[in-house]
Amino acid sequence: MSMMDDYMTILGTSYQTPNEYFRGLSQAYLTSQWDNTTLLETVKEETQRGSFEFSDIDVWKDGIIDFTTNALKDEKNYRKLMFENCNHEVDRGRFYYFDDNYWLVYAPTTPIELYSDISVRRCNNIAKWIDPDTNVIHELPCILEYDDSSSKERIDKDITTPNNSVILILQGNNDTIQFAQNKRFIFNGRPFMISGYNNYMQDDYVTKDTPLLFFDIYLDEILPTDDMINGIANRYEYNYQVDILESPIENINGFSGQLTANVLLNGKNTNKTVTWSANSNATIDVNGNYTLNGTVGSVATLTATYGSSTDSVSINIVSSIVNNREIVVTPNTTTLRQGRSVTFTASLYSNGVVQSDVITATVGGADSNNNYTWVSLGGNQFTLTNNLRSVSPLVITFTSGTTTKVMNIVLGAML
Amino acid sequence: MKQLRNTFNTMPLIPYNILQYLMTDDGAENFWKALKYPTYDCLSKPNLTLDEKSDLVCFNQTNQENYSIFLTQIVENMIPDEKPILKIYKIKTGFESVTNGKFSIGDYRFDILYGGKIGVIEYQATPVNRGDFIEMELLKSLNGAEINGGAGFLEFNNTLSRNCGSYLGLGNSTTYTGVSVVMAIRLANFVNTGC
Repeated sequence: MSMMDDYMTILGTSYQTPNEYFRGLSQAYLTSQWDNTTLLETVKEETQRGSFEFSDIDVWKDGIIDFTTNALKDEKNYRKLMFENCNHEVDRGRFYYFDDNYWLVYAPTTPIELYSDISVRRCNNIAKWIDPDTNVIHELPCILEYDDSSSKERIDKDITTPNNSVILILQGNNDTIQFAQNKRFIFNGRPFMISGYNNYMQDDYVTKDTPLLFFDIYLDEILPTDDMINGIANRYEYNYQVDILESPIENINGFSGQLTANVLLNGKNTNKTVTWSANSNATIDVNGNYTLNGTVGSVATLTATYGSSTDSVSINIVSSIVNNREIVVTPNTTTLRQGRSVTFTASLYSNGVVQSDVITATVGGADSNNNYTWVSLGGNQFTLTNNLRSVSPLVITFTSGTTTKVMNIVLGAML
Repeated sequence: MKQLRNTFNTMPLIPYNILQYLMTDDGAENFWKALKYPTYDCLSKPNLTLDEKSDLVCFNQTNQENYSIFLTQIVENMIPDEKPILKIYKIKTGFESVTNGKFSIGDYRFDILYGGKIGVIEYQATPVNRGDFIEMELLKSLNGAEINGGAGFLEFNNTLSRNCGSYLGLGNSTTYTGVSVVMAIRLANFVNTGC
């Protein structure tokens, strides 16, 4: 044990190192003067990088003048924020919100300094993208660098197309760290595609986080699947559709039944699962089992949701019901590719309760000798095989008594 | 009065029909394995299902980098990984003078591209060039095949078209290399387009 350690032990808890002493003085001074300024302001601080949830915090807000400005580089886009608590730690890439703008931290707090302050830069645009797996549209404030380059058009003897490139700066989080080449964005009606990117500037050796990401984005061509109005690239490339198979019309209070829903992507069935919700006149669980609990005359609305796509049924709650019958066919196929088969199960429902009645099916609209094979398996099950694509859709009519259900199926190509 | 001349109404369907032929040809399973798997031991992998073969084909998807077969010459998106790529497209509609304009010859080019580091695969316990192997499998399957939409057979035949042949020289000189194979088929006008 060193003499210094011995000395500290003798002094006990009242001892402060010079470092602690000077920091204590600074904190005391700052606290005493905190309200004595024109810089004091309340801003919103992201609680944790990537959360996009904010809480209020008081800061001294000041400008930054220690860089060269020009017509492109606007001084108003940079601010320095100082915190009352000299130990307040802020990492790079965290969002702040003030003056009707989001700001990104590019210079974080450093424990070396006596005071806790950061430098932030104003987000001057919004990056939007659609998640092709979840059909959810995301958006995040972002920074587009001032200087554009490669503004010379792409000229060839056959065609000339526009060109441009700029650097996009995004907060590094669980979503944005996945961005790679070819991902597209639309900024102010101009589509850009990631060409190169810097996602490797790790903040520290332990977490390996990359709090700020830099992307080289090049001007791309406008695609028919781009949502140019809302600035979402490739938005219409992923056409999700939620389809509730049953169509109950009315039933009594206390009735329990089950709904099933398919999620289709570009007309093809997926294995994706919907979430169910109901208004106050019914309850529904994760499997689509519902119970009506509204008064007579009210309407229960049951909704299946996947991403931003929904489908709903409305059930009138009545005192007594007439006999409502319907045929439900699963899976609800709209396209069958060549060389593939699908087995349908048809069920007759009476007032939401499945019956054991026999269901027959007739098929028309395409050439049964060349285009398809239809086999009745018994037990209201049928198998359809697409042998050859057809420009005429297949029309299948399921019948039980006077109840019918018509399905149109496109016999598609092999791809 | 306009003379009767061919309009080749099935011509646009031919690249798809070539693919369909490859997808259903039991003798082409090794072709698909060499195209899908970027590994040295690709031929020891299981055969591809119809869906797996379909999933390799890009037709209207914009995320081209996730696919391996294209029906156009140009692929705009950057391909970040080394993998085999096949492009099928027509390079020439020729003519056959002896038939007075009622037949024509379509020359179809098959561009086989692959990363330089995955350019060798094991075939019959021997390291062979992946491009050579895919070319061999293509010819094995398609040379002489009756392709819907064409009149006669797809042929690797210099008397049918002088463009038929195999040419090295594809690639970007750094990471990708490749070979192009040209085959030809007679084009005609058909009452039934096959769908």
